[in-house]
Amino acid sequence: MSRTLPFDAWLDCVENEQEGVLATALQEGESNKAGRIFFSKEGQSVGTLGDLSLDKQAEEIAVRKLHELNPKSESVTLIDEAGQEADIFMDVYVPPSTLLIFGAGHDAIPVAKHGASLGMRTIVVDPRPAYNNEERFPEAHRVIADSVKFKEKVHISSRTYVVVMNHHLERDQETLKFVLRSSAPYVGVLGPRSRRIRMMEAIEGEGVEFEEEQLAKMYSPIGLDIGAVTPEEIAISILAEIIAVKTGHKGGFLQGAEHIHQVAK
Amino acid sequence: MTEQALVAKAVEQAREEGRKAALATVVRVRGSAYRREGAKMLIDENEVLTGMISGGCLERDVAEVAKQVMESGTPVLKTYAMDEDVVWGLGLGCPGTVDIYIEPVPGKYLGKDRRRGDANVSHITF
Repeated sequence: MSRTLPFDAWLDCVENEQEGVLATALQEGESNKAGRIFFSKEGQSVGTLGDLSLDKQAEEIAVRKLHELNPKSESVTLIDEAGQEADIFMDVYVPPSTLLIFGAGHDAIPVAKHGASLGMRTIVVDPRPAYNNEERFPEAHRVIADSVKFKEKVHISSRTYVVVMNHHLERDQETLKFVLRSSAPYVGVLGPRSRRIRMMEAIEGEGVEFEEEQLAKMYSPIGLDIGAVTPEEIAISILAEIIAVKTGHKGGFLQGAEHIHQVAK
Repeated sequence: MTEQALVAKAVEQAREEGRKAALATVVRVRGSAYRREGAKMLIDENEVLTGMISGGCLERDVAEVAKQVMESGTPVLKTYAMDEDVVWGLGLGCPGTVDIYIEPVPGKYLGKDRRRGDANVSHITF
């Protein structure tokens, strides 16, 4: 890919939903000289900022950002080989997160719908084709599978946000055994605390143990505290919580807050 | 589809149809602004806009600058200090300063379709 242009490499990375950083020297005029370099997560680079030292510094920043859970695009001022300041815009592309919903009940419909409208890759897992079908979940990928098939059919990454809403104790328990030990950063479980405690006791009774950090990513009762009652409201509450976890925010009211957006690290 | 994907797709379409276009990117924000760094808007020669770089305050002006950029072929870095109500006279009150980088989108390329992953594609763009 060495002869491809960095801008084209960026288009490819967006199109193929891969991670990448496009670094652009913010200089006006002389577009033929506009320095630009693209870095893929696999460590390949395309193009140059026109200065080896700048390329190297940009690469270090790109690599660091690509390892963050929620990296932000930003302009940085670097010093080139000649000692001159150069403003470089580091544009980070992170592919859409996945929303993985276990349970295809009627209340999962608005969760899938809103998830898709947020641009999340939305997947519904439920063994019942009568519920888990295109008519009910037109925007979602559907996986017809019970827990025995999870390992084979359900892929979970560090950008997969899991919602457990089977309305079925046994299915929820089997799901929890699978998802809590995955790399998902978020596992929301529908239902009251008492139900969760009952399930976790049953799972532990089977001799399954979880590590502290696996339990820490479990959010139950699920959702932000907005007094949601209807399935549509509950879906908003759940997705608001997912956005907050994803961006590292606390949820709650902005009224009285010092900043709207988190200050960049 | 996410906004980045929409903009990338619009870039591809403009290229395929041979339309000129400019890409505006929010590259720096000080204070408050509706869109953050990385937000993009594509402006084509027919002034069709894809994506958003503000809550509606800047799109028109950026589109005007984009026309010049398409014309001249050189990028422009423009700073909008949005606390200057005078500039807008609308009392929009987005109290932030936003830098927007507006660049011409490379239009033509030679050789095989780059999406087929051919490593020896040569381009006549910048």
